[in-house]
Amino acid sequence: MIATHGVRQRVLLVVTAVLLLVVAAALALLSLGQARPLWSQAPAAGDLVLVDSPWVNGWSIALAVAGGLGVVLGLWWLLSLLPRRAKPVEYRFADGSSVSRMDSGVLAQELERSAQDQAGIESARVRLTGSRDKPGMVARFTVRPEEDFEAVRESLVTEVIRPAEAMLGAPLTQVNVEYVGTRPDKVKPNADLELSPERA
Amino acid sequence: MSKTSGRHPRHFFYRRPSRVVPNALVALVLLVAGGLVSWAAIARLSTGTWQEPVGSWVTALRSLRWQDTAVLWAAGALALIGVVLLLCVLVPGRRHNQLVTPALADGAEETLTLGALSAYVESALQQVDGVHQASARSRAGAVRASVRTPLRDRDALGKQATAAAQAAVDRLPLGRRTKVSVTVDVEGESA
Repeated sequence: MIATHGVRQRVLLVVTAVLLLVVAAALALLSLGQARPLWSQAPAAGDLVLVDSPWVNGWSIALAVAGGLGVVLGLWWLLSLLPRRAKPVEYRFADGSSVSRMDSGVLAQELERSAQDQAGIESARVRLTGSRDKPGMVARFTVRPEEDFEAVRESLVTEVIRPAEAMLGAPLTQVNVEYVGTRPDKVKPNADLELSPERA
Repeated sequence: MSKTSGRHPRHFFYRRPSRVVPNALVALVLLVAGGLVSWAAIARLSTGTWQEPVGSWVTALRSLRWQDTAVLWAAGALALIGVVLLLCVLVPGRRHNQLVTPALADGAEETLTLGALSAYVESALQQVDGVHQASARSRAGAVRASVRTPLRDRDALGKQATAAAQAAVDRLPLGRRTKVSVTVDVEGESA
């Protein structure tokens, strides 16, 4: 299972868009003579934009730093877009005087194997979340469309959900599942043979 | 999908698509522009002159005046990009899956991808006698399928295929009514 950051991506886009709109508005106001550049002492219309501006007069260090920040920000932004595998949580079992801990990834792998043994399941990815007394499950099952969907789900209840709850000793408080389908071959391998005599 | 360490929201899979493409483009532009500015500024500090191609750009910028049309064009272009980015955030985008009636647990979120829905329809269509090739495309509430057949009786096969595909969809516990349409192409005939 992977995790991405949809909200952060939207916020970054909004911030960028607002910055661009502000710069665009400032440029338009300056160009139309409705505003004056902060660094110019002679801002009358017709003055050169850059010849007396800091861009070419000794601000190279500031530009270098700003460029470097842009590189760092751009790299961080790109890396933040990469989907990451979420870390498995640790479940804590307390029994009187003894306490044991279990990596939820171990149990998740067992559940994946159990799911993949079912007739209608091609592959399974399972991640357990939450705490031991309030566990949750996020799973993606690749189902075979030739099998009956309801029968597949019944087998998942008996072979995955119930065993998970039994092992954890608590009902799953939240279950999120996505069913993905394997595409059948587009062309029947023996199509000609399957035609009934009256139709062929 | 959102970050889920320890707990997760009720809807984990049933979400609008994230804005990866515009984010990646903006990040890439920032990375390249930042690198270029940084390199040009460091080169100017060490050599005292702007390196090409930055030198020619600076020369061009030096000749610009605030009231030049190019400044207004630049403002317009930046505003356009800003509006496009805002639209990328505000336009929700299509979901790639459909909710199905939960069966695994109370309150469970169970979704079926549109690809899986298409796969069920294709599988059902391939069981129809006379269908040689089947393909389907799904969106929320509708599936469009097409079959190829060597048979000449296009209408009869069309009805049979549509019924089979609709039955396959109706067997799925989808949260909304989904309509199927099937087109039949006879092999050897031009479209």
